[in-house]
Amino acid sequence: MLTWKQRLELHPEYTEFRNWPIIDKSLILDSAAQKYDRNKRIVKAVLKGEKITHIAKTYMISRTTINKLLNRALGGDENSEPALSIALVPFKRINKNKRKSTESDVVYGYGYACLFTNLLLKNPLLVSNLDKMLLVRIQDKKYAQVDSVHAFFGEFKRTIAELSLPKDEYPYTTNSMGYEAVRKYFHRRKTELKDLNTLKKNKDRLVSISNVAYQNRHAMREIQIDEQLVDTPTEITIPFGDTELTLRLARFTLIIALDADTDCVLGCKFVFSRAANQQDMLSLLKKVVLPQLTPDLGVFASELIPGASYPSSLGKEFEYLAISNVKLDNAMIHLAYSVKSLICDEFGSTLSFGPPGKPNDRNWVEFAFKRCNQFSHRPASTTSSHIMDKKRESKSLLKKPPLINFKEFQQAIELLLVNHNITQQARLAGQSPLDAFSQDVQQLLLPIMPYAFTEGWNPLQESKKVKLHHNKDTGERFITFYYLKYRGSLTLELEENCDSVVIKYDRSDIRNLSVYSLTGNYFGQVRAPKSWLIYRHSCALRTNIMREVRRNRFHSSDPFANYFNELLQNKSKPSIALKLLNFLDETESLALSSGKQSKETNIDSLDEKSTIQEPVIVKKPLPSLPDWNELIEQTKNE
Amino acid sequence: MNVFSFCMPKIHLESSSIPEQQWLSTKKTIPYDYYEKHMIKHPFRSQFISRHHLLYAGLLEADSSITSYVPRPFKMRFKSTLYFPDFYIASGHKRYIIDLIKASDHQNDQTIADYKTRGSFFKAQGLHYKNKSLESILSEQTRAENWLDICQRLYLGRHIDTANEQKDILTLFETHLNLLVIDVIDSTNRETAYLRELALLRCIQKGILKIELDHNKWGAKSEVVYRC
Repeated sequence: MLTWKQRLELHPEYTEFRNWPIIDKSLILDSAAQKYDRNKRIVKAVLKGEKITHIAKTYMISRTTINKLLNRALGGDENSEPALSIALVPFKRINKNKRKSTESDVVYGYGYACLFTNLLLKNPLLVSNLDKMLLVRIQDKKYAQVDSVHAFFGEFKRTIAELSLPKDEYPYTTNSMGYEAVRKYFHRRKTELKDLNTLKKNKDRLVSISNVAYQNRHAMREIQIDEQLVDTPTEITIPFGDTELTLRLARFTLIIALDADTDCVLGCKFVFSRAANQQDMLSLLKKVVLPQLTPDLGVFASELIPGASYPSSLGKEFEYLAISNVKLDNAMIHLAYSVKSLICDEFGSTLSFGPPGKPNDRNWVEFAFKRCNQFSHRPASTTSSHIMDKKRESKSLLKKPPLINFKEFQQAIELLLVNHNITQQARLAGQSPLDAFSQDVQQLLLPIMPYAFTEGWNPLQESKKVKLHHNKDTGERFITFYYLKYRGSLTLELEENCDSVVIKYDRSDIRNLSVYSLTGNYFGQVRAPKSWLIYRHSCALRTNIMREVRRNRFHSSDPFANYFNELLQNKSKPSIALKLLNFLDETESLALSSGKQSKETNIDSLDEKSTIQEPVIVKKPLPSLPDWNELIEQTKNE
Repeated sequence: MNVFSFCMPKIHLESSSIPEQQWLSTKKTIPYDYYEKHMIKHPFRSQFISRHHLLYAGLLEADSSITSYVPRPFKMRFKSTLYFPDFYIASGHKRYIIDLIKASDHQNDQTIADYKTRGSFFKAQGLHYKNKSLESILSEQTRAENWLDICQRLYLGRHIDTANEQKDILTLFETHLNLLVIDVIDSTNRETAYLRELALLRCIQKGILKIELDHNKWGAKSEVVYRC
């Protein structure tokens, strides 16, 4: 045991009172505050080197009291930390409770106070065994037991039996074998060990830089993008001949792009499937960079706050702003080559996927979804988290078409997102996200993409080097692209022997391809087979259709029409209705996406058109060569 | 032959001896805090397995004595496990291999022993092996971020010729010792301002002009100084 003088010799840093910890004033009772202040002044005076006799006179207390006070604050075991400032609080218990009498005193009526602590102090093996049991659970080891009081008590009993403690001593002298003391110890020790484990982990792990505050926050520094399934049950009404079809839709996806520093929503996209594809990501990024059309808010147009919009539609200087960092999660669509290529090669941005399983890294976009969900989760929705979920739609309601119309729902969500952009926020010092964004664009030198000064840049436009095939019999040249043969009149006089060409195409419409030589000369256009030419379609839709063909679901002579018929036949299923919606949206037969112009095509007429096309004649090999005579040649010429 | 050679840790080069970024497949990027970006001194799209690596690449861009670098240049087998050095750096006639490690690893005996083994291996190949602590990279975060921003602008404008603009900017400094960035760019036309900004950054990258990048984010109010 050290005295206060010995402690100061060993630890000279305690001679400076500023090195002592500061006590939270809420810990000190008002009645003890004055005495605490006196004690503090006494200790400061002693540490300054004043004579104890002089101090005792000044404060009118004995020298022994001063010595006791200093020993309380600085004295104690050499290996343990001194109590320091907390010891200056009057009547504050500094030392832990200890058993004063021996265990055998229990029988003489001294009670059980501190017997369990005493047992732990005397048997370090017992402590280590119990700690080991808790630690393996915390560290999630394979052989860890479930952390229950029952199991812990079992381990306690097993260890004391192993230690062969005398049977006439605690805990054998109690009926419960010290169960209550073990229970309390279990809960307390578990928390302590958890904290210790976390501390150790944090010490080992270097401070994650993602959490280091960025000193220079500004618009377009970081864009966060994420997807979410929309649970709200919706219906869609599609004109079909003279009647209108009302279909229940399955859950669809919403993608949001958000500027992290200004909390400004840069764009959103509704995807008519459970999983968005790379093309959806590309069209969302296109919305972020290129000017957007004003969202069609329909019945909600009157609720739009004046001035609310997406930033890219604010003017020329808001277009073609290059994003510095793009934060995404590890979803497969984000790992697609086309997405990576657009972000890294065209925007020059830093693409970041963040540490796995940590969505907090993209918290602002998650908050945007939370805002949407607060609105969209008001009706009972099919969250499908578990069968007793209160939010789940009842079975009787599931059979009827939902109340909410898809188009109106889409408009309401867009209204919510756009109105958020103009709502003032405390985080932005009373500015609205759009104001903060505009201010940054006007005052800072944000990076610009050079495409701002050239025309015709389209992120969905791609080019690819492909093989130019040659039919030996007919001499015809063709290109194989997305499962189909593309034919057309190509001017190949200059480069007769070229085997490879470069094709340029728009991912959202792959009916026609522009063909160029490897040196950049324009050869002409090639077209897909006739059955695929009537309606525009994307790479993704064609892949889906051809996947169905591969499964032998329908005949491959006109898969496009067959696919549509298949969807029509099973339209009552919500998932098929969603596919049908996706089909109609891609072929631009129905105005669904905001700003998209509909051709006002009736679904019935679409069916007719697709079936009216030229019959596809499957050429069979001839059994023998046809006879030739002059008459045949004459009829041909006529 | 050394009789103890069987118990010595072996290093075996599994990739080509020419430094080339060992490309991580999409699946293998998932466990990391993964970044991808086009830099200037590394001509291809660079992959970084942590933010420290990305920031360090930014610092390499800032160092005018470094001509080029390659992240994850080799694939090697060290002590029967795969080992990828973090950076290969070319500076003048010297070639360096850099590994980024925690400062606390310097106290670990095993890490020090591994460091020495790898050092002697690279020394035999004519390369200098060095370690860089992650903490020291963090202390230069602002500088690194500024250079990452400059890299993005230079990469985007890589096909644009700014010889005339660079000449105009340097003429300005014949009469002025220092100017603000906004005065150098000095244009209301978006395209002209873009070209002059690009020209200014190219001058800074070449080391002809200097701008304070160590403590604050560079911007319109930063001071540009002519570097004699």
